[in-house]
Amino acid sequence: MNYRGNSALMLRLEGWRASFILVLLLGLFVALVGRAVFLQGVHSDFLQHKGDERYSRVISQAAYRGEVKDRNGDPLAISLPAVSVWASRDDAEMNPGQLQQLATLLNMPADEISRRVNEGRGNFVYLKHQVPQEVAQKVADIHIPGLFEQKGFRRSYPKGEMMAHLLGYTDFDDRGQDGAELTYQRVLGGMNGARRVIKDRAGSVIEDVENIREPRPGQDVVLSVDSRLQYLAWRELHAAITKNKAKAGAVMVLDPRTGEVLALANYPDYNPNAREHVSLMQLRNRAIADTYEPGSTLKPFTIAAALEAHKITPATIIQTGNGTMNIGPAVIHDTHPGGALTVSQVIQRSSNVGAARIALGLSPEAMWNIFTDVGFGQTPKMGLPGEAGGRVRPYRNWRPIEQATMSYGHGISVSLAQLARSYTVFANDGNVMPLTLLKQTGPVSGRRVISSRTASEVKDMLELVVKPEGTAPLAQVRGFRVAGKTGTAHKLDHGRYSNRYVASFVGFAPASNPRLLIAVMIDEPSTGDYYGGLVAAPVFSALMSGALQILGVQPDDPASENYAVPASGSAAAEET
Amino acid sequence: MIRRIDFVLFGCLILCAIAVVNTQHRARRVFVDLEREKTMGDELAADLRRLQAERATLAAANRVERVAIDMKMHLPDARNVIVMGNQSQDVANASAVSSSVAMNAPVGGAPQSSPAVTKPTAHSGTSAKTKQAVQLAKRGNR
Repeated sequence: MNYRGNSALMLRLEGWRASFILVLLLGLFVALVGRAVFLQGVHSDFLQHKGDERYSRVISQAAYRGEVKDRNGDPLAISLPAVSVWASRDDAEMNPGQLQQLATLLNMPADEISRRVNEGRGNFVYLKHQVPQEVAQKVADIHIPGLFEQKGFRRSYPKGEMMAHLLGYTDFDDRGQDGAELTYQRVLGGMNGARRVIKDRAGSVIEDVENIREPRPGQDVVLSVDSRLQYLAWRELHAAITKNKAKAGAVMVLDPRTGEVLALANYPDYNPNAREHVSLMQLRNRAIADTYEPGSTLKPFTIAAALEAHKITPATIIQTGNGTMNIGPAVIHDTHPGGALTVSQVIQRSSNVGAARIALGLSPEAMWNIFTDVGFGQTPKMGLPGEAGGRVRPYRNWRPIEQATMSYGHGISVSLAQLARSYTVFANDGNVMPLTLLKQTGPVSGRRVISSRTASEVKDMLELVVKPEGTAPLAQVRGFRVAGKTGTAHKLDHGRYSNRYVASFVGFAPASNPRLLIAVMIDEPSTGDYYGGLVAAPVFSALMSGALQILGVQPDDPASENYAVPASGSAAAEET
Repeated sequence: MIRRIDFVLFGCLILCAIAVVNTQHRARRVFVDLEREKTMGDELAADLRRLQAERATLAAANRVERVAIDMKMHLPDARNVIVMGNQSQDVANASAVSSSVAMNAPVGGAPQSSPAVTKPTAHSGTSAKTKQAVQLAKRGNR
């Protein structure tokens, strides 16, 4: 083939054309390099971010809230995994069949669900919080588009209503709202962790990139409560409320040696596992939040103050005459004329006149001091929200009639918790113990209020109260020496005393070496009996004997046949 | 000029590259397994908690008492209780007292000992108190 003849090859091209192509190609190459530099260098953060968004995820690692346990390690509050079901209003579509299925599973009305999904602003709407995982799985199985689940926790209270007031409850985010759950929120509450991971197309984690935050689970809290005693307290309180058709009531059990709260029960109560229809009345922790005029349960403190001041001895004779006493225009009554009583008998028969006479021989300051020293007028600070401090008016303003009524517990207000704590003075050789909700491991030091001798003298008087001649033979416990005091107070109604009563009993056993201190308060018993010795003392007796059995306390009076108590109708009546 | 050593090094390079890819792939697979095991661990931990809560609910004193009452057991009354002599304080925490004063032993294998219940005796029969306890026990277990 002869190429030479091809005229196109013979064409002379001008030199600039080749240079142009060269420059063009070089220019493109420079642009390419420039772009690469721009992407890799200048713009790389943005691109890296965009890239990460496509496969790297920050996932949160849930941390459990700590458990609440009783002193024997029995779980009282425990967090379980649960799910919140939410819907996207834009995407949610369900047919009537699915709606009905969902309504049944979530246990809420179908029109409530459709109202939530179809009405309201925003795209995001919660349908139900704290759905148990088994139910959530079934909800997921219906495959409703636009319906999502979010992991969370649900607090479970295995003991139900019997521990309700003590433990309180948590909100949807597992934060404590009341009771011990609120008090110990900082200990119990966990901190969720977070980590950055790389996920593949199927959504499973394939690589750990970094640990942003380690999850920190909440710590467990061990309460001083003994759930066996708590159950007994709850059961006996309920039985007494039912029997006496009372409006409310509370029981508190302490270990007088340490001030530990072993049980605290209230009526009315609620089930913390199902709080949808709980009223404020039910939520109220009466033992700590309600104050009332304690009545005769305060007499031992008046006597103790007089014994400390060496004004009287247990054998001093007090004239109570025909059972009335005039102080100015006011008259103090006893229910029965007593005549000449020893100081011990004033306690045993709960004579108002006797207590008032002893009080009037004392300075107001001495009485105020002992009331304040045992904790009246101050919040007990045992560690529950809403503790009331009660009221003791300053002694400078006391008139004689007020001093007299205060000697038998009127004109002063205390909570059951304060009353229980104050009696640790007599159970503990004159030392008042601070109340605590936490299990104590080391020795606890109290604060001396009265001498050991006075404490033991008053304790001997309190033992007389449960003898057949006393006001509370029904408080006896077979095999044990019991010391205690009844109280019956008229309730104030618009500033006047009404015919509604608060019956109470505070006592401890075994008297030789007190292990348990129980305070019982029954509000407005309405079957006719209202004396503390008839209404509250039987609760004390039943609870004390059961509790001493459970704790295996050695009887200190095994020979006694003190079970032969008089029938309730003939039990000695008591002054208010 | 291309020497023999270059071919060898090139071969090594290729092998290493493939090994890296392979190792990376295996690392991810193992990691996925690890994640799966961790998830399973979490689920088992959740199960443990659920079972603990369940056990605590089942062993709650009110339920144990209700079951005991259903089994026609009841509290020993005062006449059936022998109070032991006063030997020394705080000694017989479990042995002497539980055998005589209180039937402190767990009922039906429940881990917590609950209010005392014993078999019916000559004085048995459902007392008013027992009936009340049944009601309360039922209520408490709602």
